[in-house]
Amino acid sequence: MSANRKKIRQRILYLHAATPNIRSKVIGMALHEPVPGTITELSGQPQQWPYATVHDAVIDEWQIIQFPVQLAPFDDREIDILGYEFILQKLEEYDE
Amino acid sequence: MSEAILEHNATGVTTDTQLAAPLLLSDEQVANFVVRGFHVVHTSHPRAFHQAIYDKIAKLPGNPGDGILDEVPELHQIYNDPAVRGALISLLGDHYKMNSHRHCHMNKPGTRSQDWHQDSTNLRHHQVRTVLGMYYPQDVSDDMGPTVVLPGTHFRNAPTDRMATYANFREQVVFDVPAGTVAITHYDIWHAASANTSNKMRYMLKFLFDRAEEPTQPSWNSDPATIDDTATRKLVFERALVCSQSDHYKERGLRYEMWNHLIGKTA
Repeated sequence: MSANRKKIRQRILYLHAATPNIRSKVIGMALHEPVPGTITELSGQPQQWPYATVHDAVIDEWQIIQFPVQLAPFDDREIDILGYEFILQKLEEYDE
Repeated sequence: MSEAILEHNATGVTTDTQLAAPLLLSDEQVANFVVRGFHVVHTSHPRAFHQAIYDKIAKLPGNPGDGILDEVPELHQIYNDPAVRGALISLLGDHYKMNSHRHCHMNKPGTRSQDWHQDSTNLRHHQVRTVLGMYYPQDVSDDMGPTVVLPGTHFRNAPTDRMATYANFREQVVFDVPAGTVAITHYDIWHAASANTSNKMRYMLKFLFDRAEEPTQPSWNSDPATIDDTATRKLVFERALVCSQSDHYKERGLRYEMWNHLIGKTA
């Protein structure tokens, strides 16, 4: 067995957009790296915002693996969760 | 207006004193609270007073929970500060009550962030019935795990489980504030303690305050000549954060529901 064996792992990116349109503004983001010990959490420090829209992330080779559910229960008075959630992936090689 | 109270000095001895007149909010400030869900005030005490509170908390053998006010009675002076009382009267009415539940949040160095959450369960309303008064006895830098809130989310009735995939929002507001700050928030606002990646302890005293009576008129420093224009400008046209157009339309209705209750206007 090679000491430098490579494995394909899935990087996961949650992008929360203002509407279900992939060209609407990204308002929230959570990146999960497939590396042991990494964490994804809320920070008080300034953040990097690499993508203004989901479309920008697609151009950067992220693939959308889940779109927001359009048939969610609808109420014309109350509001609940914020934004529309897109889940994206990038498959990349990692050293074992 | 002044009234006699028992005040605790730095050694915990109670003395009679007079409360200074409260600094009431303006129409603009109350409308801003309705839109954004929070209002930040700075108390008038010297830094040494906040440092003394910090040191006293640091020497506690454990977290006393609701007993924090007995352990650190100087906190009465924080919540009786004219700016704090003025904001509480403005938002909750003249006879608001301090809730018996309070907590000292100790965010130690190396502590991971909380997830976004609303307190309690999802039986909510669109009025100002309870607010949180979050006091910081030390300077809070952005790496010390400051409280983070998301403007306008006090209108969103969202089970905390459904927020679990969120991390950072572009428009989150970070309370990296100087010692002596009290952040007053609507009870329902989305909030969390962020990660403390510094080597310093961050304390936050969370006290709750409740409305005791239904409003019949503005309890703040209102100007009858301009209040309606102020309300229209703030409640109709201002955005708390970027969201969908349909959410914003619904948000306007909910803002007016809250505002009309505050000014004593019945349906």
